[in-house]
Amino acid sequence: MPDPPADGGIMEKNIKLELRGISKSFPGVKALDNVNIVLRKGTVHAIVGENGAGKSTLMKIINGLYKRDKGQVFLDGKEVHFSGPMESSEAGIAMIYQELNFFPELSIAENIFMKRQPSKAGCLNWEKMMQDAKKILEHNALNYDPAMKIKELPIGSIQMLEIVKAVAFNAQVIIMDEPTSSISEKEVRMLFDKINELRTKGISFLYISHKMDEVFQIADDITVIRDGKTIISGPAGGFDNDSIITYMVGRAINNVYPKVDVPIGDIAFDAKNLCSKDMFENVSFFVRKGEIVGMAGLIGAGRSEVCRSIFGLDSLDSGEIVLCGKQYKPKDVTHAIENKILMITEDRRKEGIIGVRSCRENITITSHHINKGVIMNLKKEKEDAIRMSEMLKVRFAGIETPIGYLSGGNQQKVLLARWLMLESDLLILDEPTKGIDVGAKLEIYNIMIDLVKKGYAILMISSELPELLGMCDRIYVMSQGRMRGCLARKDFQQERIMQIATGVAK
Amino acid sequence: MRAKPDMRKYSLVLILVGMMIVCTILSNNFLTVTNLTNILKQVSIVTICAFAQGMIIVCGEIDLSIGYLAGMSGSFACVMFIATGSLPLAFCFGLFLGALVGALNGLFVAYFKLPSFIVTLAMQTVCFGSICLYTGGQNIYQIGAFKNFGQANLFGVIPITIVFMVLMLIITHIVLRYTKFGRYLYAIGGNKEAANAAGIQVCKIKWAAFIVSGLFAAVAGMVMMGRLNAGIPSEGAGYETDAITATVIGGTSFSGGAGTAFGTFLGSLIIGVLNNIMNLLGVDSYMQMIIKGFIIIFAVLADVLTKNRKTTVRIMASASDEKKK
Repeated sequence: MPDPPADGGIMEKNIKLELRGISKSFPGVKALDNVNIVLRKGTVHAIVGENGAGKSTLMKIINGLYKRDKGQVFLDGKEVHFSGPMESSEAGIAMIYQELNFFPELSIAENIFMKRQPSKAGCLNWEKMMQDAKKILEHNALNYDPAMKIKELPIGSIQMLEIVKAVAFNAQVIIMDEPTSSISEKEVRMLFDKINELRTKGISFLYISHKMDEVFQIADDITVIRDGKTIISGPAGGFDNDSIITYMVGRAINNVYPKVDVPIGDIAFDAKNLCSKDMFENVSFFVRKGEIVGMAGLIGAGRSEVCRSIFGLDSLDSGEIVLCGKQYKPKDVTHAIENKILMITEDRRKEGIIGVRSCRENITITSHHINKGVIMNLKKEKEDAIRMSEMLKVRFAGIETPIGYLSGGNQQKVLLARWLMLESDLLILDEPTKGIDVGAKLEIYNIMIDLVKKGYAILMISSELPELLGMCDRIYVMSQGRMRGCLARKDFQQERIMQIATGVAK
Repeated sequence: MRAKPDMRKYSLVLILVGMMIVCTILSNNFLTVTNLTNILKQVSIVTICAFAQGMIIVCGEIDLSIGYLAGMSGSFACVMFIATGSLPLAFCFGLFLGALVGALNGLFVAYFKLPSFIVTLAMQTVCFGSICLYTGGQNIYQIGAFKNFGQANLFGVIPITIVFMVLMLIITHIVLRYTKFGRYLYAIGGNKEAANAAGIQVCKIKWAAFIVSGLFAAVAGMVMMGRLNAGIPSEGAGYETDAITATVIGGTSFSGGAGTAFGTFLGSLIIGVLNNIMNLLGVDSYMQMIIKGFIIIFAVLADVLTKNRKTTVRIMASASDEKKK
């Protein structure tokens, strides 16, 4: 990693992209207020901020999706006005979104050359496209057949392909929005290698991320945005973890993980030799009352699959489960709820929220299972929903607000409220803080602590190791569908867990 | 944000009232008790079908079999009445057939995961074929007291068709608003996967929804035959699309998850008033079809435009939401 200039003094000619005094308002909201960012040539500039701080709006202004109200954008010293993503990409600015845009049913080659297909006499020149695609793939050490459907690739490779594609079509500035949110540690390393390689070739990156350790690994400069304003901007060396978080939230979070020791009770959940074909094999573990048990592992290790099969979402082939002294055999979700096993699934949008319906309905939807009778008591329903959302401090315009309008953190709190309406012997949280800003994360952690104080048994899957280390009493580590080890809190060590998860150590 | 769905409801009321004012000005014959009663009588059958369609669309599916199913179960109920002379028995038989066909639809859609568009489209011919097979393609006349389902008056003044429509309105409203079943329909239509992960038995609920739809279609069919004073199997054709029109104008979202009984009712009334005034003014019947077609497109356009506005609202909301801290 090249050293950032000691004084931060930037020479005019080294500036690739500059944003000066950018402001943008939506009716009733000032999303951006006088934002200044200077991206130097051949560097990685990280933009950090809470959800809703205005990062995405800023990106969309750069690539022309939104029109700025005020301010200027300079590319290579010249002021530019892009009317849309097509124009900005022609000017050499590529944008890689958090949710990758690709056509799953088309081949790798077609995806690379989308909207740029080589043609011959007005028809598609397949031969040339395949050859060119092959060249691009080989050049970047991606060992795939260009005719392969892109959906067969792991997500990390698809993302890599996006970068490769951008560079192949002469992008000079690459904007990445949360690039590591859904790829494994190994893929992150590959991504960073690629970024480092391209950086030395003079390509500049705007890198948006929540993950502090990554930002420090990769960034030359850091800009912190809060409530649509630039709070501070400077070389990465001038920041540390705590100071960034302080700038982001505008207040010091002294203890990021509010872990409290709670007396541990009896075994609430005991699973032995769980197997599911091609997914996981002989997985055994237990959770005690008052315990937060973590499940660590790389993406694809089978952690979610194990939990989903316990909850009845996926099938379980064999294995024994004892739940509070009684045998339990997963059947379907209703059965799991009746047996007091509850789970917040990983994909909030797909399997969590019912976006068009109100927060009230989203909260009470599960409690109908246990209330007898066909007709609902609307008054009680509303009271319950309001009580739960007040308890979890959900912020919304009102209980009737459609949940789709809420921020990720508040959506997650509504989903927690949904499950906390019910009694629970085992609460499974699959990536409970994914895509949630720091402040809301802390609130989720506090809720978890409150729950174990009440005797809940919590099983948490997370891909953020610090979170597991900070919150859990024990951590199970899985890799390749097998349980590889279990660490007690006193033995917690990030390196150790990573070694087990990658199969380096037992 | 909170007032949005209500706004939609009120906007429908406003449209209806506005239309009625215009109609009153256009024609002296419009604002009379007889004419207004006529409108209600005319829309009653299609409205009952629309309630069924509305419930199915709310849960993210579609039922194209409603019209022919109404024709079939209504005609078979006539056959049953002629054979036994018992009105309750004939009525129950009609309901049974409706439930049976609905159950078949639901079985294929919910459990075998076939697209409801195809299944219910195919069921149209099955329904029509089975009644024609029995009657040899003939209409059923001399149905005697069965005509009471469509021609009697409650307390001697209120036409029975209107009574049926209001009854079904109340039932649909209660089902959608006050029962768990209704709540599950919205949840499934809003996000099927999430509904499943929340422990809702998606298959079972969908299956039940199609059975309810079948029952409603059967009621509509029997009222229809009573009104016609004959069992005419082909008479139900087209009711399913008119039902879709009413639900869409009534603000039911075609992508599922939103829609109300009163909205559907108002949608149906709006079409009824429109038909009525065009008849009173002597508008050419083919012209009427063209006008109605465009009105459907505009209704959907309005739906899409309001949705687009919602997306901009969402972008703002995520920012403003965090700001409120």
